[in-house]
Amino acid sequence: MTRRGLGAFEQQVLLTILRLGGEAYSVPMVLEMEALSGREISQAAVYIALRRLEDKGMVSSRMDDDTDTGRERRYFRVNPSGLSLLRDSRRTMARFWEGLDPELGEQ
Amino acid sequence: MRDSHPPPVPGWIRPLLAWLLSGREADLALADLEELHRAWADALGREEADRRYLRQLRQYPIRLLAQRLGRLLRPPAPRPPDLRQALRSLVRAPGLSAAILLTLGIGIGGCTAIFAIVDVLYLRALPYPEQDRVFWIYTDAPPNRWPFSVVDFEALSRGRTSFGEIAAYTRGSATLVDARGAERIPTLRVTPGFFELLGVTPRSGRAPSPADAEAAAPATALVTLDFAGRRLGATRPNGSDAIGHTLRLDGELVEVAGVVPSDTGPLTSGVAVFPTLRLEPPARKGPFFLAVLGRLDEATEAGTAAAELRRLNDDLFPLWVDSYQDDRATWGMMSLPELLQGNVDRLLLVLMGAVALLLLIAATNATNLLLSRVIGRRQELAVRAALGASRGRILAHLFVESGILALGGVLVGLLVAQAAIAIMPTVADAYIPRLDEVSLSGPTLLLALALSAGCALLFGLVPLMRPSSHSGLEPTLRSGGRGASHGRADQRTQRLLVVSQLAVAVPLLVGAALLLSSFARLGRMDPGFEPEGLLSLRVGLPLATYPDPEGRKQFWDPLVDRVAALPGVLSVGLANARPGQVFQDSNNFDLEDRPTPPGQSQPSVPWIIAEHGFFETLRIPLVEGRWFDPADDLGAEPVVLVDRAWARRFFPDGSAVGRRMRSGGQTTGPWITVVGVVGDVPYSEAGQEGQGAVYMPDPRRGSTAPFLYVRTSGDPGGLVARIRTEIRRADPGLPLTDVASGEAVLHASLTRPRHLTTLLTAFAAVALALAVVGLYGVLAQTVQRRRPDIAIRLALGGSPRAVLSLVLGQGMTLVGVGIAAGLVVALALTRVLEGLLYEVSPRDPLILVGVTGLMLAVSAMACLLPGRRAVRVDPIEALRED
Repeated sequence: MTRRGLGAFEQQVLLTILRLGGEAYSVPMVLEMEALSGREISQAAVYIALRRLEDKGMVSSRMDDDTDTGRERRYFRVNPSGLSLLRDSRRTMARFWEGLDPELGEQ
Repeated sequence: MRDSHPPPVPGWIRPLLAWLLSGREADLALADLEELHRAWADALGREEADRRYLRQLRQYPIRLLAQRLGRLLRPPAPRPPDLRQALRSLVRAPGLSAAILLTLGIGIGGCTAIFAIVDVLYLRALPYPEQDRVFWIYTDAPPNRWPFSVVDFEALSRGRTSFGEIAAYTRGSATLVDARGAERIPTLRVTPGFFELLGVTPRSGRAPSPADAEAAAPATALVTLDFAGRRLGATRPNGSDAIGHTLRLDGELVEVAGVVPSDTGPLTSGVAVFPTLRLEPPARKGPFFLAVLGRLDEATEAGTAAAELRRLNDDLFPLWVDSYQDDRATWGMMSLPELLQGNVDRLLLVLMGAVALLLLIAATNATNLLLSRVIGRRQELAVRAALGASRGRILAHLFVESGILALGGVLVGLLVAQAAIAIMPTVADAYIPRLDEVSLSGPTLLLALALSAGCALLFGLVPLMRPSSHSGLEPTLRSGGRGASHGRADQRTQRLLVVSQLAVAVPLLVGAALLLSSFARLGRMDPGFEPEGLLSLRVGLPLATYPDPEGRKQFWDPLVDRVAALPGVLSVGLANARPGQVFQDSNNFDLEDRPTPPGQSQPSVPWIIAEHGFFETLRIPLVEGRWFDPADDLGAEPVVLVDRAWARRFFPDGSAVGRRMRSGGQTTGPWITVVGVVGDVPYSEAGQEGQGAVYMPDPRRGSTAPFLYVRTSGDPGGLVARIRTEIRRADPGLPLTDVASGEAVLHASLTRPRHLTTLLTAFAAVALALAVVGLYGVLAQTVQRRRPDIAIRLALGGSPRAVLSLVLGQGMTLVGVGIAAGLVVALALTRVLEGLLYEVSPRDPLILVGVTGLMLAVSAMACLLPGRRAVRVDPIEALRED
């Protein structure tokens, strides 16, 4: 993991937050990632990735109470630097994928 | 989703999670998992949900642990930007950085320099092959050790011992006369085999042979390569063109037989000319003047050899009992390294301890300063964190900063050490042997690096060892840099550091105060003579020109008269000793009234040759009896004067006048009578207990290189040139040495205590300054941190006096704890000073109280400044800031 680069899992975590409306806590994120990847996702792994992203300044978090149950949840939101990193990453990957459809056997 | 309660959480999970995360985060994680369980149960069925839930529960702490471990194994590596940043932030606080560099430099440099001495004296091998098998062999009469006589040396050489090689030497000086004039040079007269024994091979020519050592053989000498080039004009690299040259040494022509390397090791250090020792066949057991070295055969135990020596002496003793009866003395041996180390253990221990304490204070102080910087920069760090710097990166940044400081400390330290080593020989040559060999060697450099690495770890890590949570820096940003929980822990650390600094400073201060007080007493000590208007100088008479006592007397009589007739001269006198200088020529004796019991060693004291003019010129008073008179010089019945210490020591209850003794272990021959008692003059290092001294008359005949003492009515310095002219007129080939005023003589005797006192006082002053600065810093910070709190107190009508006493109380509590701890340490440590103190107990209560008072006073000042600032807090402004 380089200083500015992101692991695949971390990218998935960031993308999941965006998919869930830009702010989310861990439970819907795990469920969404399981639905998208089709396999079991470890809640601990998601939690650790989120804290690491927070250390790097990619996401920020706040505590909030759930209106139904009244229990506390930590909500994460993607910071501008996280967004720009995702854009960079997508562009880079897109360049790698470009023009490879024949080689990959996809029409 | 309604009735799907998750399985119970295993008991070990929650505490483990609470430890790994904070308690609140652990609760959050468990609640999240519980919520997931409900979602899984709806989608996948109860069984699968339970399985996933339990699996993830167990995985949770394991994954967290693995992540922690990963972080530990992959420490944040400092990268170039860190270095640049660190340098920039150090330069931004130049005063602080300089203070840290300087204190560390002094500490590290001092330790390194002292260690360099220890390295030479104790760790580095001597330049002699198999140094541990070379022994100094001496006459052993505890507590005294003295050299061998010719009889002893010859008996040892002929005897059956395990010493394969035996050689003797005698240290002295001689007058060298050449085209450049007359010069008194140090010499080492050696027997054949001396250089072979030390493993030194001549560069050219030959070592002295047994034929050279015959009493009637022509005089030969070896010289060093350096001397051959400098004085004899030799140009060949091995000095062979100096062979065959003749030197005029003490009036005798001496042929250069060989050239040895310029540096032949510490035993011969400073000597350039090695005349061959030609031993006269002895007529009696004494005199004892030969230093004897023996090289032990391989596979011989030192104990075996020592027993052989004692047996040999037992066999020899009855043969010479006519002239020597001290049956208690036997022969002993001591290894060469032991001989050359000298008696400096205590001195080095004190210096080493002092610089170590200083380094400790310096490092503690640096830690404290850095810690306050971290605290002061909390806002800056918080901003960095907010801007995206990871925690690891911030730690790396701080660590690089302390690394740079430590590295700078080493550099400054090496400079300090180099400077110290450069000036050491001129300052301490008289009492620490082999200083000219001291250098910054490999092991010494390693020590310096290790010390600084230790410092870097200490002050790099302490500021980082703070309770941390993930979002630790964030609230700091919000609360204007006054993190509540962090602040308390940091304050605790800082207080601890301040207390330890004070505690470490106390022993240094006590040590310095003890030495200062001891030195003051030495300075006030009655020297026993009047230094004002006194001049002393030394004239060496070459034995070859003045072989017999009458010739010497004929030289001195007219010269002394002419000097006495010079304008401004009040009196003139000769003696072969100088007050305050250690006098080596001791003699043992047996008192008629109090004979030494069989099996005990006879007492031994300095045995000085002095005439009446000496006492008159130095103004040494007569206490009892009479002075020498001219008839004593060649009188049939030998007489002596003794000093007060001698009289007190041997006849505490009665008069010493009229008592008789025999000297040198003789049992026949005339009795020596004490005719008078004179005032005490020390002939040992200042501050050492006087053993008493004996004066015998007639130095004009009896001494070959006496001191000439002149008392003048004006400035004695102006007389030197005229006295020199008079001496030239008497004999142009005579060197005039050791010219000193009375004050200089007095001054020289206090050199060693003065140096030690100066050093330790300087250390103590630095230590006190550092400790007080640390105290001030912490208190000032506390006041700054508590401004709003103080403002509220003042706004609500609290009196300034109460606020002041609050701050003072806080500071002085730290001071009290520090001093108390320091006094305990001091009492344990100052015992090593015992032998270095004069008339002061290491536990002198007055000094302990005085040091405590001084520290309290200085610390109170350090507390008062922040205290007054606290009182001046403007409530409205302070509260508005918030």
